[in-house]
Amino acid sequence: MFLYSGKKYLSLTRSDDSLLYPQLASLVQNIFCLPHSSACVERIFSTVNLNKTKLRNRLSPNTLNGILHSKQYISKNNKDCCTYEIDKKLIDKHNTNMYQ
Amino acid sequence: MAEHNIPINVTDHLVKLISSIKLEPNNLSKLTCDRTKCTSIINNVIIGATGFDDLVQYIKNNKFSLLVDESTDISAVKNLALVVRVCDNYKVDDQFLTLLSIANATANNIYQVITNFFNSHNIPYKSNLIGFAADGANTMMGNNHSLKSLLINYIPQLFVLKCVCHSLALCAEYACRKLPDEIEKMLRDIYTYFSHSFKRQHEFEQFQHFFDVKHHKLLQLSCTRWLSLLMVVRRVLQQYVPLCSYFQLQHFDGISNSQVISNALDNPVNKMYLEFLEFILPTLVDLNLEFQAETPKIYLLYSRLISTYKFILQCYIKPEILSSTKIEQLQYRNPSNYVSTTNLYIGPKLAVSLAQNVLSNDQKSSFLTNCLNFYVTCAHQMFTRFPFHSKEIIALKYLSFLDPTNIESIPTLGHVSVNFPAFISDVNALDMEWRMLKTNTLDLSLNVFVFWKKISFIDKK
Repeated sequence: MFLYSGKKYLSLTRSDDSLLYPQLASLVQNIFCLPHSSACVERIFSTVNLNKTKLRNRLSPNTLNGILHSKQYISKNNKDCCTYEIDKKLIDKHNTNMYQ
Repeated sequence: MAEHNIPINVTDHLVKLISSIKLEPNNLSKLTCDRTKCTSIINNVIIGATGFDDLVQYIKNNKFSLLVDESTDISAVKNLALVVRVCDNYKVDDQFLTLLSIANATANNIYQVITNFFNSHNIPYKSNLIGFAADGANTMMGNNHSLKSLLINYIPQLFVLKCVCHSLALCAEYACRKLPDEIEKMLRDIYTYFSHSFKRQHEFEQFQHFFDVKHHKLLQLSCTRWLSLLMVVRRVLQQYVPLCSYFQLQHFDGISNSQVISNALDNPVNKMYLEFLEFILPTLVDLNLEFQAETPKIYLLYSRLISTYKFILQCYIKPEILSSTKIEQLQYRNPSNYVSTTNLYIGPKLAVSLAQNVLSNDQKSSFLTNCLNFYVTCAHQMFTRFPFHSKEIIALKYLSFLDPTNIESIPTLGHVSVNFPAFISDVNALDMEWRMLKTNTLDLSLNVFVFWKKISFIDKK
């Protein structure tokens, strides 16, 4: 599961005395981050083309951005529209400010 | 579905969705959501509350890599897509960051747009951006003035890699140009002959039925799809017999253009070229497929590239030279290193068909020369795109320490520290940890990520 668990991660990198391999751990994490291909960007454009079609050609960049993020957000934890649970964070944002 | 032209597949989820909503019927009738609200929810609730903000927050505090590409969409808006690769608790993810419209795709402008974006969200990219990848376009990756050079100017320790998949696809493309144009023309002609005519497709289906071949359609050769050539070649070879007789009959009926195709199909050399492609292309295509994956494979990159390169050299370089010379020093374009054309390795199927002597001697020698040229160009392209003696590629070699099975054979991480100084704060402490790790009994059969996750949580007891 992809959690933005900042705390957990930081405890690894700040060479906390209790850890045996702090340097190695941070090196490995950094190397895992390095890219080897830009194939995933091409996938984004595939999705763009699926959404911005001949009939939906006035889709604004803003909305397109929203659609791409929503799609990623839902699929990120292997959820779909039926199993997705709406948390409090989402409901809080759902107010009149969202029309601005 | 029908009223709004929505795909019927949507029902799979729609029905489940409706039944999963647990609301009182009274409340349900109060539910309103029209297009304005829907747009706002998509744009401001989901982006704002979750995906985007979380991601921005994350890359503010952690290292990330940036992947960039640009493309023009159907209403002629040029978009720049930014994807970031983040590693959170040994789980690596490519996350879509944003789509920016750019009017003019010069290096300066792209750089400006990207830095503006980072600055407006207060992302400290000078310290957190550690890797950058893009396709091989000059505005992105050129040496003199490109997005890459501008970024490196600002962040000198940045790790940059030209997209491996793009590079491999180009290697294959250049090598294929060494084979006669006729082959490509034939593949295109066959597709276009059927593509817009239902009548012809239907006639051909009867041929497929007669020859008991699967009722597959013929595929289009696309220049933007990396893997299409191999798929087209496989499909045509699978349908070769019905295609031959179909075009013979069409030719007999005097339908224009069918004569050209029919002649091309009847020429045994052409079939052999297709068989040659079917044999050699998978070496490049499989590698391409492997590196399209999202999971980090960078520590495998060097060994995979070398073994593919070796495989190609093995086909045409004298074995004694191959075994006695270092692979990065081998003169792959020196004709005195080539095996004689009759000893060229061109795959098992072709070895048999060549022995059957369907070709005249002239045809045979020109066929073999073309195959040799294919190999030489392929090796040359691989070598220029992945210069095995260059600092960047050698640096990749030292990343093999990540593979648990290699741990015992690597005495020190000194080379890694030299090549990736930005990731290491204390070289000696790191090497101490490495030496200590080697003394432990470890479960080396674990998956790379599980292995390193375990290591990182070991504490001093």
